[in-house]
Amino acid sequence: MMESVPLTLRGIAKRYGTAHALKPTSLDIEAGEMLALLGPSGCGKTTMLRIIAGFTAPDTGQVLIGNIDVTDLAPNRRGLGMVFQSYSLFPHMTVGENIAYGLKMRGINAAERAHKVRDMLDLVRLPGFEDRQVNHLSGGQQQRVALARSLVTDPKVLLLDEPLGALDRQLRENMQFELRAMQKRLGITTIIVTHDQEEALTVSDRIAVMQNGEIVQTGAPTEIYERPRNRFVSEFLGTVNIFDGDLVASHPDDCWSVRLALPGAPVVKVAGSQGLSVSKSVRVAVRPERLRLNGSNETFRACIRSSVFRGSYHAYELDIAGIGGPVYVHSNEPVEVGDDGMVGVAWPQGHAVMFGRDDGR
Amino acid sequence: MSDETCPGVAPEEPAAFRRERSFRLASVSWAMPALIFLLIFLVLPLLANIARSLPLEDPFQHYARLLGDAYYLGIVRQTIKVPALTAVACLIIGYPVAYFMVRHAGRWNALIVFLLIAPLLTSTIMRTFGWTVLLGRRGLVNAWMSDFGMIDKAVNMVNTEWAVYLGLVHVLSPFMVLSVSSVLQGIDRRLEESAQILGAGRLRVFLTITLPLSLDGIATGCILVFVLASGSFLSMLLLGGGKVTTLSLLIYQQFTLTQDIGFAAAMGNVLLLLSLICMAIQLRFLRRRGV
Ligand SMILES: Nc1ncnc2c1ncn2[C@@H]1O[C@H](COP(=O)(O)OP(=O)(O)OP(=O)(O)O)[C@@H](O)[C@H]1O
Ligand SMILES: [Mg+2]
Repeated sequence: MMESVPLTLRGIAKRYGTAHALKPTSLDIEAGEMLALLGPSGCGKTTMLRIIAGFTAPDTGQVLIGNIDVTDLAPNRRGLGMVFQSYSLFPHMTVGENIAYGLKMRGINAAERAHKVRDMLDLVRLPGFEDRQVNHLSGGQQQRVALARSLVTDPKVLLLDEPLGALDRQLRENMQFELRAMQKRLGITTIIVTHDQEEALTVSDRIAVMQNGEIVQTGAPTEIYERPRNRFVSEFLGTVNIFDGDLVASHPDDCWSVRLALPGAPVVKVAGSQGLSVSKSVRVAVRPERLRLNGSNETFRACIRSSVFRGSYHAYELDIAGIGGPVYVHSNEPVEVGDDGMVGVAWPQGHAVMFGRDDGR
Repeated sequence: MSDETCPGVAPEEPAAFRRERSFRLASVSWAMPALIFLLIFLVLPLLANIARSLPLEDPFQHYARLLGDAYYLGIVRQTIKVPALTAVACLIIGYPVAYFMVRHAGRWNALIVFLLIAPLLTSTIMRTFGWTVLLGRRGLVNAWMSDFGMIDKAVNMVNTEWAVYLGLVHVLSPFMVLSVSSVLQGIDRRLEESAQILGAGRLRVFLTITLPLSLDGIATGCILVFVLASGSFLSMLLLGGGKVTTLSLLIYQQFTLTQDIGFAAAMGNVLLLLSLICMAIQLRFLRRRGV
């Protein structure tokens, strides 16, 4: 197997006309790391991947693979593997010929090709599929063949552009775990593009969240999920409740007391970030599964508007007098509601984050 | 092509099936006027032509003459050779044009398509005749060549085999370009990019991916050009000066000069058979691809 190599982007940028498809972006991906590029449609994920692959020349900046500058190298000389969303299997070749294509281009003899193809098909759990026609395969099988084709040449870096996008939910979840396991086993530096936050959280070591052609935050999945840097990131990674508030006091442990704009003006403790000062207006974000219903220490009261059983949890939609939108709470246990339809909501310690009023809008 | 719905008589078909069936019945009856038209003006004349080519006293005399006589056999051979060479020439000229159109022309694509189709709106006679003006002894090409001192004496360029091929390729190459480009258009660029990332250089990508995937268009274009060339006699008549005689030209001559209608009918049928063989080849091609 090949030694893992790091991938470095130094200030790469791309414009189409006057529109910035990718603003100057730098990113370091460690050897053997799996990084997810996560962002909404049109934020520049594919553009970044195509620049790394060499299909699109960046206006500025450099791409380094294993500390070698490959910015001016043609795609066929970069030693990468890539899987497109549509798999792009060669329709005029069998499964075996598809996988062997990259080996053939490297001048590897037929016997060794056959051997490696067999190994690869075992790896992606499609043994004996060599002579199948690719357009007779199911979506999941095509996906595996595409993966095998990109891995057989021992690429230095693997690029996956929404590789699971065309699969149904069940298969996608299985493939996420398989992909993750395979990547760890091979130790290959990998970038996976996705606009599905669950997928990003499941498969990657690190997530880079993109918005409007730039990376707004990178970090481990838990960090991105629990400590989003702005409102966009917090909302993109899942349902979140956002409250307005004012800073009232700072604490020595880097936390702040925040007075929430809720009935009763409760004051809660929230971990702080840089550049804050007393009486500054902030927004506080808290995940629905962190709020507790009917516990002790209730922070505010709310009226249950609706509740849905979602299998692994109960989802409640709460109305609070005086604030615009509903508040969402996910609870493992069903909640007893009083005659007045009101419940108490308890604020979680250490699970809320805050950011400035206009961050990430 | 693939007709999956079987005409089975399941008593409880789903509603969608039933609707589709009745729609089909209706569509067959709507096709009746066209079918009747074709029957009267195509099938019946063709049958009459076959009958005409088989005179009662000696039914196969015309065919025996056509395929037994060395002169006529040569013409049959010529009828295969000229269209075949024309198709190859059209392919060599047309493929790069189609490739450029699809891959590099961008928004000029529409203009190129227009330029390809526009000449088809003028009559073939006019376009072919144009070449006699250009290539004639006192034509533009001769005038230029003597102006540049390339020749001392006017060269005869009309009434040669070359002129015939020139005329045919000129008239028929748009068909090649259009059939190749329509197939090239449908090739997913990401297939080429996948090949590239797997280590193939530009030429290898073309030879292993683009070319094999455009075989359909090449086959369609070649067969189209072949059929059209084998059926045309204007280029041979106006530019060949008797140097190139194919069946269609001979039919024209038999009909207008010799008035040997039975023999002309026999030749027509041989020509028709040739075209039908081409069509059958093309159908096989399409079916193999599962289109
Ligand atoms: N070849 C191009 N010409 C002009 N604009 C382009 C081109 N390629 C991309 N863009 C623009 O650049 C922006 C980023 O596109 P990109 O394909 O990178 O988005 P993406 O994040 O991959 O989106 P998606 O999730 O929909 O695939 C988009 O606004 C797109 O319209
Ligand atoms: Mg994309």
